[in-house]
Amino acid sequence: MSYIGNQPVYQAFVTDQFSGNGSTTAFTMSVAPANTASVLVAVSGVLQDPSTYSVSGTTLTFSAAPPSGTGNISARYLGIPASGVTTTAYRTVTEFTATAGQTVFTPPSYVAGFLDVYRNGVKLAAADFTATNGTTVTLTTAATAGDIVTTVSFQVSSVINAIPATAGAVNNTYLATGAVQQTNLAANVAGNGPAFSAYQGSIQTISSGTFTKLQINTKEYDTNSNYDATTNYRFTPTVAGYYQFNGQYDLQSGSPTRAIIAVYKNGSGTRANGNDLSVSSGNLSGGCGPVVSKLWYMNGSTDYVELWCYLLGGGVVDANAYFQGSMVRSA
Amino acid sequence: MTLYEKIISLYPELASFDFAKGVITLQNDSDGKGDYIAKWEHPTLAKPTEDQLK
Repeated sequence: MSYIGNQPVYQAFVTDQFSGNGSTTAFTMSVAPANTASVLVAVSGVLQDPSTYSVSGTTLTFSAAPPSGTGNISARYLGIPASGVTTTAYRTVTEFTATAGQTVFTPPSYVAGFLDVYRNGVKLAAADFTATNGTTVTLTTAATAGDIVTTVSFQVSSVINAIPATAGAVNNTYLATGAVQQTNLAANVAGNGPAFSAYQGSIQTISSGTFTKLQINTKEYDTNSNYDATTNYRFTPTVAGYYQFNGQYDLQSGSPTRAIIAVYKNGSGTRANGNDLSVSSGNLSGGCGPVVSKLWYMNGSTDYVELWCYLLGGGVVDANAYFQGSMVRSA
Repeated sequence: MTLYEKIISLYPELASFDFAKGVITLQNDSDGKGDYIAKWEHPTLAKPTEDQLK
C-alpha cells in the first residue's frame, strides 16, 4: 500500500491469554492497565462488558468464574499507564517588588545565559542587568520603590544524555560508586568474585622434616584464571577482598610420625597451619588426611597463597590432595 | 640422604628438635631445586655450611 508522507509504524496491542477452569475468578496480567476501560476482555470469543470484571494492579477479577477452556480468556490492553515519569519545571518565574535603590535580586538558582529579566513588564536588554553567577541578578540602573522586577529562568537539559530506554542499556556508567546496596540484590544472589579448585594429579614424595609446597597441578575450575597450576602452584587473585581457602592431602605411603598441612601467604611470609597430626609411638597410617581452612585478606595484586605439607619421617602424598579458594567478601 | 637426615647426622641432638616450630625451617619450593634451609635461628648450634652438608 502506498502512503502520502511517512510510512505508518504499527505494533500489535499487548495481549494476555488465560485458561478458565469454571472456578477461578482472578487472573494475573502481564501489565497493570489503568482501569477496566483500558482493557478489552473476551471469554470464549465473546467480548465482555467492563462491568463484569475489575482490575487492580495486575489482577483481573471476574464477577463470575469463566468456563473451562484452554486459552479461552483474552485480555487486550489498549494502553498502559506510563511509569517512571517525573515532572520537571523548565521555566521558573519569580517576581520581586523592589525597594528604593535596590539593584540586587536573588531568584532561584539559574544557569547564566538562560535568564530573562523584566522591569514593570518591560523586558530588559542584556546591557541593563548582570546575571552571570547563577544566584543573583544585578540591575545596571537601580530600581525605584515599588518597581516590579520579574526573572524568568529556563532549565537546561540535554536529552542526548538521557539513559536510553533500552533493555541492558544501564551499566556502570550510570551508577554511582557504592550505589548498589545489599538490599537491592535479589534473593539467592551470590557474589561473583574469583574462585578456584584444583587437585594434585600425581603423587608427590615429601622429605622428612621439610615443609614442601604441594604441586597442586590439575584445575577443576578457575573462574578468573588466577590459579597457576603449572609453575608455582599458587593462587594470586586479581580482585582485592577476603578469601576462604581449604586444603587437604592424604598420605599414600611412608612412615611419618607427624603430618602437618599449612597454607602460606606470600611464600614463607605468613604460614597458617591446619591439622597437626602426630603419634607418640608407631607411625601415621596411610590415608591420614590433615585439612586446613583459613580466611585471608588478599590485596588483589601481589598477595598469593600456596598449600604446603610437612611430614616428619617423610612419605608420599597421594594424587587426591586438593586446594580450593573463593572470595567471600569484597575489600 | 635427605637434608634433614644430613642435619641430624651432623647434630644428633636435633633428632628430638621440633623443626615445625620455625626456629629451624627446612623447605622445598617444588621448583626442582630441592630441599634447603629457609631459616636457622638455633640459639647454640651454627647453621651448617654447604661443605658440611655435602
